[in-house]
Order: sequence, then C-alpha cells, then structure tokens
Amino acid sequence: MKHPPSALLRRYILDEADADERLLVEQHLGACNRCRTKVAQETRLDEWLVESCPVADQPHGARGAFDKLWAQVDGQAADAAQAEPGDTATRTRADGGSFMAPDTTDASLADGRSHASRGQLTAPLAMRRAAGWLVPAAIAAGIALFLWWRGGEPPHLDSAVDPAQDTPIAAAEPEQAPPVDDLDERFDPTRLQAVRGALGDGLCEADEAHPSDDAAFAAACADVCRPLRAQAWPVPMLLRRIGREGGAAAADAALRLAAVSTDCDATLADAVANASRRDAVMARLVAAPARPAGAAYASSLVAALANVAGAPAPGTSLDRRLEVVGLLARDGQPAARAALVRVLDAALRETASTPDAAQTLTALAAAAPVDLVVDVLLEGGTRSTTRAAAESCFAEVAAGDRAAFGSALNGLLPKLPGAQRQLAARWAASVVLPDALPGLCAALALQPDDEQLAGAIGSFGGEIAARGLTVALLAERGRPAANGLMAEIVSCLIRAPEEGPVAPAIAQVLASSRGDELLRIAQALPETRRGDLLLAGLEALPANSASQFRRESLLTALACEGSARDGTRLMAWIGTRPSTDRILALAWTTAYHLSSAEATDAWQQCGHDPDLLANAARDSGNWPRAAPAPPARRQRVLDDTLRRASRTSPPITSVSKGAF
Amino acid sequence: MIPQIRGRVTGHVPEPELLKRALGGDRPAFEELAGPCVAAGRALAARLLGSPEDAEDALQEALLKSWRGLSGVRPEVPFRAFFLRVIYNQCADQRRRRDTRRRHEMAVRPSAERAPSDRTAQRETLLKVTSAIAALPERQQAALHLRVFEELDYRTIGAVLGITERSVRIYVMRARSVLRERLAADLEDS
Repeated sequence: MKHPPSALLRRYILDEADADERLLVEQHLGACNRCRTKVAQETRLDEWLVESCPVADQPHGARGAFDKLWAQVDGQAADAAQAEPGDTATRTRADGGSFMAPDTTDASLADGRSHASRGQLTAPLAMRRAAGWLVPAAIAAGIALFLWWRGGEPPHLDSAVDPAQDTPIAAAEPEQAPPVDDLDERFDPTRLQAVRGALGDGLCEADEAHPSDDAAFAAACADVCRPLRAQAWPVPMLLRRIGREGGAAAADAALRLAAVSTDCDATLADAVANASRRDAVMARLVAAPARPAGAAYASSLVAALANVAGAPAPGTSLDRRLEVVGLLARDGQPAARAALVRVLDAALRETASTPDAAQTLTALAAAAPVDLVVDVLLEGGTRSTTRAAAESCFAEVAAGDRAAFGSALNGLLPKLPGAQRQLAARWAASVVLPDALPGLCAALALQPDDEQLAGAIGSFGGEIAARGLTVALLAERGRPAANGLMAEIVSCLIRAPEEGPVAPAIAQVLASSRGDELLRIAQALPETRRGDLLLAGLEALPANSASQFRRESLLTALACEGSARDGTRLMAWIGTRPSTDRILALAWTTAYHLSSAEATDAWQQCGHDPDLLANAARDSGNWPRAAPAPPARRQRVLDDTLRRASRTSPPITSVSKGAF
Repeated sequence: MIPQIRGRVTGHVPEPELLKRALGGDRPAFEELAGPCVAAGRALAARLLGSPEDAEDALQEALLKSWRGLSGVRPEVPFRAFFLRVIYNQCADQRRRRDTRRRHEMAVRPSAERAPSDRTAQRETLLKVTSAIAALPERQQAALHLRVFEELDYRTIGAVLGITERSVRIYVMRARSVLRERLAADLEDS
C-alpha cells in the first residue's frame, strides 16, 4: 500500500491540509491501520482533552442571559432619561472596548450610527431620546411593581437556603433599587403592626432555636413566612421594616435571615443601610467569622454594605455612603476590605458617566484605608475611561496625607505590574511623596531600564531623594542590582539642582553603605566634589568599632580616588583621631598622592609628630619619596581593597603592605 | 428612533437580515443572532476566567456590549466571531481588574478543601487538565479552547483573537506541545 508522504500527514494532523488533501488522507486512513494509529497518536491529545475536561454544564440557558440583558438595557435607559443632557458616558467600541462619548444611552442603534460617527449628540436630541424612554421604562417599572405586589418576590424565603451557595463578594452584582415601602398605604396600621410583630417573634424563635445552623434557621423562617405569603403579605418588605424599626432581637434575626438567603441582598442592604443599630450589625459582622458558616454570613453582610456605598439605590446620600464606607473601613476584615475595593472601583467607574461623581469618589476615597485607595486608583489610572478621574482623585486625597499615601505606594510598588508601576512612579513624583521613594528604588532595582521610574526618583531632587534613597539602599542591600543602582542614584543626586542639602544626605548614604558599595559610589562621584563628600561621609560615621570597616573603605577611597588637596585634608582629619598604627597606616596610604616632604609637612601642620608617620612608613622601601605614587600603584591598592571589601567577612584589619 | 420590541423571529433568517433587524432595535432578532453563541461564549469565559460566576458576569457584559456595538459588526465577519471577540476582550479586561482585587480577596476565600468524594481519578485528571490549560498564556488558552472545544476553524479563531490565521496555528501548536509535555503521564495512562 502506498502511504501518503509524512509531510502531508503532518499537515493533516496540524489542520493545515486543504480540502482535497484531507479527503485523500482520510480515504487512506480508512484503509491503513498503521497510518490511522500514527495519526491517532498525534490527535489523541485533543480527544483526551475533550473527554477529560468537558466544558462544564451550565444551568443557565441563553434565555436567562437575555432577560438580564434587556432588564439592564431598560434600566440604563431609564437612568439616562433622568440624567442631564450632554453628560459624558462610557460607550462601547464594536469589539467590546470602551471609550468616552457623549451620552447617547440606548438610542436606536441604527440611528445612533450617524451620531456616534460624529462623536457627539446635540442636547435637545438627547433629551428627546431620554424622554422617549421614560414611557417604556415607566411601564416596565409598573409591571415589576405589579408582579412584586402579586407576590413575585424571590421565592427563596420559602425554602431552606444553603449558606454554602452564598454569593461571593466578587461576583455580587449591584442590587437593583428595592421596591418602595408602601406598607402603610396598603395595609391597616393595626393589622400591619400585628403581622410585623408576629413575624418578628417567629424570626426570634427561629434564631434562638438554631443559633448556629443557618440552614435550619432559614428553614424555620420559611415556615414562619409561608402563611403570610399565602395571604399575599409582602414578606421581604416586612423583613426590611423589622430590620429598620423592629426590636433589637427581631431586627438581628431579620438581618440574619437576609444574610443566609442568597436572594435577599436587597433586603439586607436596605436593612443595614436603614438600621438604627448599624454599629451593632457591624459588631455582629466582626464576630461572624467565629460562627459556623460565619464567613459566608459576613460576606453577605459586607456585600450588602458595599452595595449601599458602591451601587446605592437612587437617592442614597453621600453621607450614607460615607457612613457605610466608614463602617467597612473600621471593620478591617478581609471581606470588608474586598468590599471596599469594590465600592471604590464602582465610584471610580461612576465618574466615567457623571462628572459630579468625582467629588463623591474623592470623599469616599478619603474615608477608606489608604492602601486600598491607592491600589484602586492605580488600577483605574491605567484605564482610559477613568484615568483622569483617578489621577485627580489621587492628587487631591494624597495631598492631604502625603506620608500615608507615600507609605502605601512604597508597599505596593514592587508588586505592581509594569503599567501601574510607572503610573505610581509618576504620581508619587507629581505629588511629592517622599515615603514612596524606597518603593520606587526597589521597583527600579527590579526594573533597572525603567526610565520613568529613574526619572521620577530624580525629580524628587536633593534632600528628600537622598533621605528616601538611604532607606531604600539599606533595604536593597545584598541585592545584585544594589551597587550599580546606588552609584547611579548618588551621581543623579549630585547632578540635582539643590546642591546644598545633597552633601549631608549623601554622607548619610555613604556612612550607611557597605565597604564595596561605598567604594563604587566613591568612584561614581564627580571628581571635583568627591573629596568633600567622602570626608563628609567620614564625619557622619559613628566613632565605634562597628564602623571601622566602613571607615577604612572610605579612607582608602579617599587615598586612591581623592586629589592632593584631599590627602592633606584627610591627614588633618586623621590627626584628630587616636594615633593607632592602623590610622597611621591609613594616613600613609592617603599620603600616596603627596611626596614625603609634603606628607610630613602636612602631618606637622596638623600638630602631630612627623616621626609617627615616618615610623609607619619605614618599611615601605618607598620613603622618603620625591613624588606621589604612580596611578597604577594606586589603582592596585584600590582593587585590592575592593576585593577584600566585597568579602563581607572578615573585615579589613590592616592595609596591604603592597601599598607601601 | 426608539427601538421597538417586535414579534419573535421565526424560521431560518439569514444572519445579515437578523443583524439588520437587530440594528433597528429588534430584540428577538438579536436573541436569534446571539443565542447560538451564548453557550460558546460562556464556555470561553469560564475557561479564561476559571470561575462560572465570573464567566456569567463576563457573558452578561459582553451581551450588553454586543447589543450596543452592533453597528460595528462587519458583514464579512460572522457574528459568532464578533461575539466571541467581545467575550475575549471582556475576559481580558476582567482578568486585569481581578488582579487588583485578588490582592485583597486572597484572604477572603480560603482555598477549598477537596472533599474526599472529589478525589476520584476522574476528578483529579480534570483538575490537572484544567490547571494545565489555565497555566497557558491567555491567547494560547483562548486559541486552544476555540479550536479543540468549540471546533472553530483557524480563520474564525483569528478573527476572534484579532490575529492572523498563521499565528493562531502557532498558538494552538504551542499550547498542544506544552500540554502534551505537562500531561504526558496522564495522557499515557489514558
């Protein structure tokens, strides 16, 4: 049998064969067991993947998705009808991206083409369109109200609820506005009070009977609610009333029921938002993780709180949202923090459609923990639709508490992805957040080619930068990138315009640097200022034995890299220190750039015994000398010292004899 | 012009006709158009996002964006490709956002203990395969899923991912090769 060429088989396996080729191969495969096995081996992976990893069966069909879609479309249209004409809104690109365009919310798509292509919509037209939507929206609302009144509430209260199926915070969608509470208009007050009381009592009994079993509690509540439902009482609304106005125990039980019932977030949100004992609710929330199934319960509560602040019902005041944000912030539990992220993100997204929302965002951000705010704003700052709002919010809020924002950025910077890291650097520099400098430096160490980061660090300038750098460099010690980074940054500081404060700052850097780092920094310093800065570094070193190693490195650096003038000054400095042999040896090293006569003279001028110097140099074989040591020899000394210094242990205890 | 809710579309109507009607605000036409793609979109989102809840969110958002962005559908591109592209973009966007939230939510959702009943060989294989696919780069994941699970042709996948057909082939090939390597033992056992 003639087999097809292996290239053709390969193309067939890789789906690269054309129709004729496929036909040919398939005909052959029908007859040839060997080739069939060969192809099967290659294509087995796909079959096996499909077998072992079937696409999960989805309980929801397309119908439900479309129902939700139309509800969303109608809801947005109704909102648009209330919005001012000319508001900017986030519009969708054909491929699902977003861009800013004037609000043409839900105008006819066919009609909207021409306007969208112009990029704007005239105000009267927008108003006409908005008005055109009022009627269907009102009808839809009326139908919804009617259905609800007829007992169309979510049926979950009638059955035991599995707390394990609780909606996770991340997946919780903003609640729709709960129906208006018109119980007082619809029912006789005495009867209403009696029913509410009975329901409250029933809930309390269920709560007491099942203090730790949420499912049993929900089932017991369902038994309590069933007769009321049968009489067409709007149970969720009664629950909200109990949450708002009932006794403490009943309100608590109502909240618990709402919390364990997956479809009652609106009830819960409303209850929490309106409860007069919000602090008590939060206390319960804090205690919740200790309860069985408590985490889910806490999540529900927090999600509900987040709904109040993140997707508030129409008319919810800023004060109420701030209050909820305050509660979430005070709670501090991970669930609450995650909810806050959601709240802030929602507020940030609001700014894309409502210009006034920027103030709300700033107010909410000011009330939330700084690290969350920074994180959310940075994420928002990389989105085209929310970039401006995020930046302006950051500038405004960060200006109020630079230190906290700087620290938050500092902590986040190394963890951020590229775009956000660059943005953080830019923001940190624009608002001048010195506390962010260590993070910026750490980020730069991770990404040494990032010019924006380096530029941001440089833009701090002078003292602030140097102070931050000192901390950063200490933190970065031991990292391979640290040496080069430090030299780079110090030389960047030297070039900074504020020269005055730079010297002490660099001295501090030098004083806190390790020997090998220090020598490299010394080499990076501009020649004209090297001596001054190294001497300043020497001065900044504490006079203890722990600093001896660094002191030696600095002295060596001065001796080898400094000028003749520096040598004289250094000798004067050494002259003020105890005349130990080591110091003398170092003095001799520093005298490398002086002739014997110059060195002795300088030594004498400082009021020291020139014999000490001569004794120390006696064995050198190069003393007295007429001229400074040649550069090559000085370089050898430096290399030798560098080699020793780069080994952190043991420290240098004496200067190489080769130096003499 | 206000979109009108018209009668349900019945019988087979060509896609361009449905598109035209949907552009005029005909909701049943849009449902007819997008309905067959919903399952594929949901599966793609679930694959890319790894969570049915997130997938459902992405699907919902993508449906809304598709409805609003119908005017951008090019007649030469099948609606299925357009819709899956919207889903893909939505998932990519959602994944980016999720990174931010995840930093704060890690502590919220403790890693679920696997119930003993889950520890069947089949379940373990499923987990292995799922995590091996999830470890692939996003585009490879999407390309592989659309090719192997949705059985789309390379051209359509290219339209979905916004890349050339040749690139799709390369992505799929790389994905297969990586999976073959990572799952060699399981593949052998099977």
